[in-house]
Amino acid sequence: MSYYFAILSPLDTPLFEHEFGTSKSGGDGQPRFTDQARHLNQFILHSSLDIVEELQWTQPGLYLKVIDKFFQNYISAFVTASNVKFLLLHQPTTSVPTTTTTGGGGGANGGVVNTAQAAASSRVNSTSVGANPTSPQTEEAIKNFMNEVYENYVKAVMSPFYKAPNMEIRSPVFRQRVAAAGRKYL
Amino acid sequence: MQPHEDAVQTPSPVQSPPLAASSIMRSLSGSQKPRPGASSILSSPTTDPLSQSEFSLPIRTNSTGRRPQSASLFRSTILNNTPPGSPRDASPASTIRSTRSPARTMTGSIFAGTAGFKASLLDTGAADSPGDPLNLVLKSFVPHVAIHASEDVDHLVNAKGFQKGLWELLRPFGERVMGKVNVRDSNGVSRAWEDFSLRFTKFGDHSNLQMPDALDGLNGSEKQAGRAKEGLTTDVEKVVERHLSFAEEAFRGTIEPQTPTRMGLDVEATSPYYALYLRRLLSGMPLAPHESFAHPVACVMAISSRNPNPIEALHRLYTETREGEKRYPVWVDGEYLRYYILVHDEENSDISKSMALFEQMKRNFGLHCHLLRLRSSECAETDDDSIPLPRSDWMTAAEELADIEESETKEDFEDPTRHIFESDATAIRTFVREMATQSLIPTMERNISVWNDQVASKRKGISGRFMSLSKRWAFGGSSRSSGIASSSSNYDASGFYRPDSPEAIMRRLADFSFMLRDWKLAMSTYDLLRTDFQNDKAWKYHAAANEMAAFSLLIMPQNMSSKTRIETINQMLDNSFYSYLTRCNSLYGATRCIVLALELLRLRGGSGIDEAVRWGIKLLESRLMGKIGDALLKERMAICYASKSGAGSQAWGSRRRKSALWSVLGAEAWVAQEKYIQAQKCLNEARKMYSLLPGENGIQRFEVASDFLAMLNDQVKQGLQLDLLGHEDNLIDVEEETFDSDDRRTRRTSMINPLGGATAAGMETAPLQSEGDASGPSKDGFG
Repeated sequence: MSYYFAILSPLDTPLFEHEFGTSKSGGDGQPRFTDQARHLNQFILHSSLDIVEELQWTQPGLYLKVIDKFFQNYISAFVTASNVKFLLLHQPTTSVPTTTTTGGGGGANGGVVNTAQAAASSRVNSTSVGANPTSPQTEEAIKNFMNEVYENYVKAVMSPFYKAPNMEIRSPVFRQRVAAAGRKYL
Repeated sequence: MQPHEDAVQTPSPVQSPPLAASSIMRSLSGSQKPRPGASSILSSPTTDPLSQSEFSLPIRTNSTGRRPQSASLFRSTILNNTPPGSPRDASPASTIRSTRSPARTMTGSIFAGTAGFKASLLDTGAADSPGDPLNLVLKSFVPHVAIHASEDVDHLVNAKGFQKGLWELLRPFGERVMGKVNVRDSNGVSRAWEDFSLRFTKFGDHSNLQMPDALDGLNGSEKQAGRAKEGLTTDVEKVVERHLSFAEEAFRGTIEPQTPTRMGLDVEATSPYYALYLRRLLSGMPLAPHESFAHPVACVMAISSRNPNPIEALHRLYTETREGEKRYPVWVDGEYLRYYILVHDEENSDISKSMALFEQMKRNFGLHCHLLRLRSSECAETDDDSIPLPRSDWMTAAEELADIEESETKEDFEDPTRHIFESDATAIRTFVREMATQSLIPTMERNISVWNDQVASKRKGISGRFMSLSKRWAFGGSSRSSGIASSSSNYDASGFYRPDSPEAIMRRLADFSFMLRDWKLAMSTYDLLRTDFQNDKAWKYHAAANEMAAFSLLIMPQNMSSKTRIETINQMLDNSFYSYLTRCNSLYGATRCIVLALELLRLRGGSGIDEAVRWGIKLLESRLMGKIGDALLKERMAICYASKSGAGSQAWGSRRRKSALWSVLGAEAWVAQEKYIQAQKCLNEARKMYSLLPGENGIQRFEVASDFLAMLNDQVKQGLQLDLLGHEDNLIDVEEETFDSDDRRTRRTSMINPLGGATAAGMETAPLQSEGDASGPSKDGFG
């Protein structure tokens, strides 16, 4: 399981990017993206902004759950009050058989449908975070991760040297905290 | 768009490809002239604005050394592939197409109403433009008419230059029945269709025969069937590949180096290659037991006036349709319509004799007779009243491939374009129209109403439901476990339904009503059949019924919320895809089902578009198509997403970023196959989409992705330049142009683009594109 996390400004500029791997079930926290996936990740993440922009008006919470799926890549989204988006791309390393995808990926179906269906068809190992990207456990873990990042993000942008919302976040402390949150939850 | 008169006069190398038949049809069918007479193909050449120019390929042939004749083989795509400015504008249809936007008004996301499903797809106007997938769907599921001619007719037609017999001569005329055709649906409401068409097949030609698996021999069946079907898809791939290579090669010969660089993908008009792919896929519809579209609705039996004993010959032809080697396999219903024609040789025979003979035929065989008067001499291009006979749009992939290969290997390959006398064309048009309106359609209507009354309504009524229930449960678990061979089922042990079983009749009923565009009846019948086939475990039938049910549901208007609707459709498609692919290993069926569903969903707009792409991804994941199909599909998905328009100034709910992503993927796929023109088009489209984004940054702030795009761009440039090298060097003028403040970009621009110039800079990133365009010489409606 590999993750690519990005914070995007309202004008689609990436403010912060971070790649990491899972630390659960014996993972070493290193991303396992191939070279080819690197640029594709960015394209995918960028393209799912389309879905975010549609869904953010229909969902009550800031956390939008899994909003999009591109082949084996799942995108979770979190929208902040200033319309800065947190996007997390997660890619299961062991390719999960696509039995769960009936009606899954289509973004317009919304996260609710996804979760319901995933819960119905979740497999035995759904308890391990990440093996099944749409299981409730994973959703919960990602939600915690997003909330923690959000907290740190708010602190980071409160820095007097940071001009919100379109400046890149270069703070090493913030990066450490995001990495820590990744280790903790994902 | 410039007016097309200008374009016609503009001297341009690309105007020279020979006039494609398809372009005649496009110009006539696309234009909304009130005169219905103009809607026939091959209308009088003097009135046709397109036929005035001489058609040769001077530049292309000079530079590539390819024989001019072979170009006509590729004209179905080359006309659309030519650079902007001249050729496309030369077609009056293009202006119309640009003013009307089919399906654009129907968006069904949260930002727009969900009224998309209230209208029939046919009312959206998409059906009228040839090359549009919906039009292709309508034109591919049409009545098949077998042609069975006696030897003397074949001699006569051979003398006219048609080696494959009467069938070859008639075939192009079936593609559009002249004038309006009235069809009554099951409720007796009559509706006129302008674009009714027929497919003429050769009687006894079983090249597309697909045996039920059980009859194929038990052991090797799976493999063999799989290979045969794969053969079809491979042929399709090969044909499209040839067309693409030809375009690539032709580009090498053109003078203007930037021709393709300014073109993007066209959302409204289908890419010619994609249309070709679809058409070849659909034209290879197998003669299979599980669907009756390729089964003959009628058989035309022809004799000529040269025949010494004509009535006997007709009897012999008739007997051959009932028995003998050439007859159709057992699962095809033998009770199709027989139509008799007498081909009168205008030059050598006596008309009064032929009239007498014709009277005799009518007495013997009833009303389904026609006297076709043809001249027997070959028509040369230089003759006064000669008109070119278009090549059939619906030839199969194998056929076209054979033609292309022949053109490449044979030294003395001659232009396959045939010419016929206008009087002949008129006679054949009249014949086709008469047969369709007076014999074929009435017969089909009658069959539909009889079958509907006698078979389907029994099954639809309360007692029918009860019957089927009791049939299913009467023998308890034992009969169910004993499988298909149980007496309760009509499903033959050899894997098909006998043509007289209620299931087969109902399938024919549904197919007939689909062909006559009575979607409602078709839908309800397919729906019944779905469950029947499932109970009988006739999986291929099940798959096909689900497929067609989904299609008719997608096309017809219905008052149902689009959400329920899409769920129903998804389920049908799911069933169909799974049955085709996993249970029956029918790659062709699976591909056709998904590709067409994708197109129809796209036309439905709104959330249908997301669904369409989801299915497209599924198709890509299952790796059913080859390299070419893959790239075409990616390109298509970009167009799918691009056709979803958003609401308000921010275009909320649109899918521009998604569209751009798929364009990039498409470009990547094309570059991998060294098809740089296509790649360039995709890249331009991606750039255009990125520049439309509110942020106006596109992807360029993402470093890795932006680098990748630049690299891709670089490869395309090099590829295109490679094509040009040694041909024209004076056109490669390197000029430094500096753009606004972003110097990192500019540096890269000048580094990676030896071609330099406005276009090169314009390609680099989205925000620069607008500047690049503005500095370009002409901005002609492609922005």
